[in-house]
Amino acid sequence: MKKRKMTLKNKIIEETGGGILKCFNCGICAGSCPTARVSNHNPRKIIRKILLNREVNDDVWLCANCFMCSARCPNGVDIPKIIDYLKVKAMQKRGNHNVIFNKSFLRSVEMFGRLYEAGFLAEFKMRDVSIRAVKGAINDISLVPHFLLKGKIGFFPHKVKNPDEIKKIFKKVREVEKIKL
Amino acid sequence: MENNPGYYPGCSLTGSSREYGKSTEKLYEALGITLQEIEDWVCCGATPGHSSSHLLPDALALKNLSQAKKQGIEKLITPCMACYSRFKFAQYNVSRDPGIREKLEEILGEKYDDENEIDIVHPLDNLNELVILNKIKKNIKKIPEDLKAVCYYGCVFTRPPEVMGVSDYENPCQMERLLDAAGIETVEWNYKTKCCGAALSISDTEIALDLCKEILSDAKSRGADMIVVACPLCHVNLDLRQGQIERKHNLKFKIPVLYITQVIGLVLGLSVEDLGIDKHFVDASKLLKEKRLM
Repeated sequence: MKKRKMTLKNKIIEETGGGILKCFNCGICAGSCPTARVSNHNPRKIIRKILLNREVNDDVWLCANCFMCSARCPNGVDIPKIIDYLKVKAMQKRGNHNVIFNKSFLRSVEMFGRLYEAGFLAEFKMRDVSIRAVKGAINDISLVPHFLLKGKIGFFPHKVKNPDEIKKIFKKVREVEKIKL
Repeated sequence: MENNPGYYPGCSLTGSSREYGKSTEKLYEALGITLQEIEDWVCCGATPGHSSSHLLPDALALKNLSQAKKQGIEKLITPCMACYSRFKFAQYNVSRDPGIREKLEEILGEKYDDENEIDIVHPLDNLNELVILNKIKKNIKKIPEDLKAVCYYGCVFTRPPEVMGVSDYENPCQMERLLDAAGIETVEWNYKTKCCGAALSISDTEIALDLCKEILSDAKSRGADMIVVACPLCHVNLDLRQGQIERKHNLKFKIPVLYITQVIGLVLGLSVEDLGIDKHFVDASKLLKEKRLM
């Protein structure tokens, strides 16, 4: 038997079920997408490119995980699941600020079992050095006094009693899923 | 007799949104319900979890559920929408996909026990249970004067509908029913279940600011005095970033954003400090005094 070529399309059909094949390009997803209104993100185009075996060079990180696209899709295509597949794939390479954001967040969870907000934010802001990030950081500095005055942020991490159990879960996930995390 | 319900506060409610945690705990206390916190709970992984791995978020959720089962918890109160969603997703995946289930059992090193499936409940549904709703109605101490609110549910309380077990995913009414019981008028509006962009609030702030501008503008134009929310991430975006949104779009909103647990707590006579209302960025005290809630 001739081996099927492992295009992105075939891979996605295998990993997320064949739902994507039901897309008839109506655009309800794009019309329902909040970030499509304010950026060039377009879920319809992403699905179309996959189905036509075109290169998907879209910024999948602009998906805000709101699940409106799939809720309204007349054919029940699980678009967020497909986008998540692309995000996990993007996480395997050196990436942009969204990759750094996710890594900083999960590093904190792996170390302490819980999110250490102050530590994770400091790590992310230090590692993300684009102009956009610097502008954002300057803007966000105005919020710091509020956080401090209102006692809304803890200076020290909350650690679970047995952080090794959590480290073990991360280690096993890496092994079983064969991913970088 | 039913057990005390379990309680999963999660990272936000013990950190930057501690007033949501505090007001939830105080409200349940006032209603005579003791919450049993999951011992040594771990983070749900939130959005970075499911964007980085297909198995990690479910593994973290099952780890917490397994601990809850050991404590004899049958019903788990989960106020944070992100955590609530991750628990529901984990149960949905593990009950439908034997492949995922097998992998999760391998990761956690234990069999998944579906004999004692835990009921994951959001306070919005829990407070609407007849017994509790009647208790709220009977214990009202302060009746607000002519106070108008819009209810903002955000995304994942109702979506994906098949995972969250919801049919009307565009028009939930739990908050309206609670506010109605509390004598607060609710106004219909366009952004009840539209996204505020919370997942992008730190990494792509400008997008979140643009989405929130639409939400705040609609609330204002519908004549609302305040926005009522039930998610810590929506609250950070709409309250903490309100000043940034005003500056970016050259608009004035000054609209207080309160958690549902704070509003119900207020009418039951709990104090502003106990409910953590003094922790918000947009000051609510002028409005609450004017409407005789403070």
